[in-house]
Amino acid sequence: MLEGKKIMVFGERDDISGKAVCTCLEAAGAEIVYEATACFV
Amino acid sequence: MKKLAEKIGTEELLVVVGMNQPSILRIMARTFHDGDPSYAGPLAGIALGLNTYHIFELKNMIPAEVWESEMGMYELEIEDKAREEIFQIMTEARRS
Amino acid sequence: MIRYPVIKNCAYCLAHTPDLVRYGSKPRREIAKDPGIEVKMDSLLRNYSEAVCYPPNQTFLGNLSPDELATLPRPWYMNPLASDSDALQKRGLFGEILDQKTFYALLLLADVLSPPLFHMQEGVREKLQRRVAEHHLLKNIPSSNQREVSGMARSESLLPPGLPLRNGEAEYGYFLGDLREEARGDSNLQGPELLENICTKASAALALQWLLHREGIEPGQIDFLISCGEEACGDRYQRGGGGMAKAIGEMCGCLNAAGMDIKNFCAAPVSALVTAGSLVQSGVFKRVAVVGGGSLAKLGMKSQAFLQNNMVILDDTLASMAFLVSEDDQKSPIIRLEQGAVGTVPIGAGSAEEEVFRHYLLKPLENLGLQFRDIDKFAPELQNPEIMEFAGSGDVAMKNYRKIAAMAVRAGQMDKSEMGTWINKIGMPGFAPTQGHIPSAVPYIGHAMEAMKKGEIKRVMFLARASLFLNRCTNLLDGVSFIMERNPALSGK
Repeated sequence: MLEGKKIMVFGERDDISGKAVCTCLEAAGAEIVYEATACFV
Repeated sequence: MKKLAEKIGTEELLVVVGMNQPSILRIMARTFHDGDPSYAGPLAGIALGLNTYHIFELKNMIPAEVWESEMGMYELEIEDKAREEIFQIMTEARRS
Repeated sequence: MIRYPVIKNCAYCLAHTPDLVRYGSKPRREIAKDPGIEVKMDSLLRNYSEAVCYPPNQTFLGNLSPDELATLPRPWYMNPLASDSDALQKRGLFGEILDQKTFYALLLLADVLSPPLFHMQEGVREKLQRRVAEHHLLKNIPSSNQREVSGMARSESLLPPGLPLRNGEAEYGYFLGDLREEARGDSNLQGPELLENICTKASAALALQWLLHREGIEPGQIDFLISCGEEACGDRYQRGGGGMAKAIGEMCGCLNAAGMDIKNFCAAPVSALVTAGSLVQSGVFKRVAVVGGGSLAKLGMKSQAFLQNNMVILDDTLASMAFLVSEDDQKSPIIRLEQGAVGTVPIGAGSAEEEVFRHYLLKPLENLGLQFRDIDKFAPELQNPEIMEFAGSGDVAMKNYRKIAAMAVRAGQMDKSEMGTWINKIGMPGFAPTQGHIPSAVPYIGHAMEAMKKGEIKRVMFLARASLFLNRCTNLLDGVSFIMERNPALSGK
């Protein structure tokens, strides 16, 4: 399902970082088009 | 984001989040699907129809060893009932 | 035997500044979009007495322990402490909560420019000076001899509009910023930016005064100052250039001290304490003070949620702190500084959460031959959950405890089923205002010192995280930790 998909990623520092989400999605063949990790503190 | 969606087209585009707070998840998922519920932001009244997933919902699609090193600890951190709530919120938002 | 440096003393202060909330980054942006927000915000500001009786503030000042706070009914803002002992509660074991008027007086003392940064209404300067003269510590701060701009005949039209300084209904004057020709057009030297820096300086000076008072030493006895605030002072050619440590020290009369600023986002206080300890242990300096002033930018950071819910604005308080690091006195808690004891995250560790925690949580424990259960308390990010939760940001302290416990499980030192009970034992509720670097682990140092004095706990681990990625120059995040222990010379006592 993820192969070839373009994905926007939103993470949060104290939950799950956007970078970690990206690493997983890229490993599944998706393309990241936008990534942001929020810091609520 | 609106520009990005216009450029890429919404067919192949997905949103994946790594946020665990129910209130934020609800707003984000609804915004990308139905437009900004506060009717204030750039997505006010614009329904992009984008589906949003929490990364935990996609576990089966990620190579196991990558998942284990990137997400193993995050999975441990979250309490079972919080995870269930997240799954429920995301499913509902996509259905609406 | 290795000699360790000690954390000899500490001070924690608050300044309740409801009328400065509008100059926080978030409110300022929102008000620019919709001026109606300012009116609504005004109606939701707390008064001083409410801020004094707010249980997390009393915990920050040392009148309540975090364990006691945990037993109080939530929401805390609806369950204030009794105000009958008001006089006592304005002062705590570690410092005090200043009212806005006195804080304005302190701001005037922090202004060293000619022409001055502030223009006050007639009589206000004198009124505020009296406040300072009556204060048992602020009266020690030398007057900056600032006067209203002379010769300008106070014709308002000659001056830029400035930022109004109000105290409730009363107009006190304006923060004008740097009026000199050299500052013209420099976005770093305009009102809000400069006011932010002056607020940091003034609030940190209050904490440093308290530190000197609590320790009973003269300002001249401090050898070195490290400032760990989140402000960026400097002009267009060196934004964030620094110099805050010496500005604070100068204000407090630390004439024999040199100083520098340490920047590491929220982790700067822990980085600064480790640096201070190293300077003392190496013999470079005898007495090093670490100071951190409050963050104006973060006032009202979560105010949107309060406005939506029609509830009082809880992020209305500047916080500051100061620590004295010195040679082993055989009494005060030591900082473990042998090789491998300080937790850091090497660049090569990347930003995967488990790797980050392995480096700054697990490795120092392993290097010292310790297990997770050898630590009596862990102090992570200690943001007041009440402020965070209304804004949908969750309980940050609890999130971090879950991470610490998850690491213990991954390290094979605990079963998943034990996480909850263990967290109850080693954890505490967050109690610090959402002031960025201030809540980052170190608010517990004072309480830990008290508990160690009584022999209730022996070893605490302080863990600070830093969102380095916010600088847009890297995707890394950082972690820094150290372990504080009851002084071994007290064993058996």
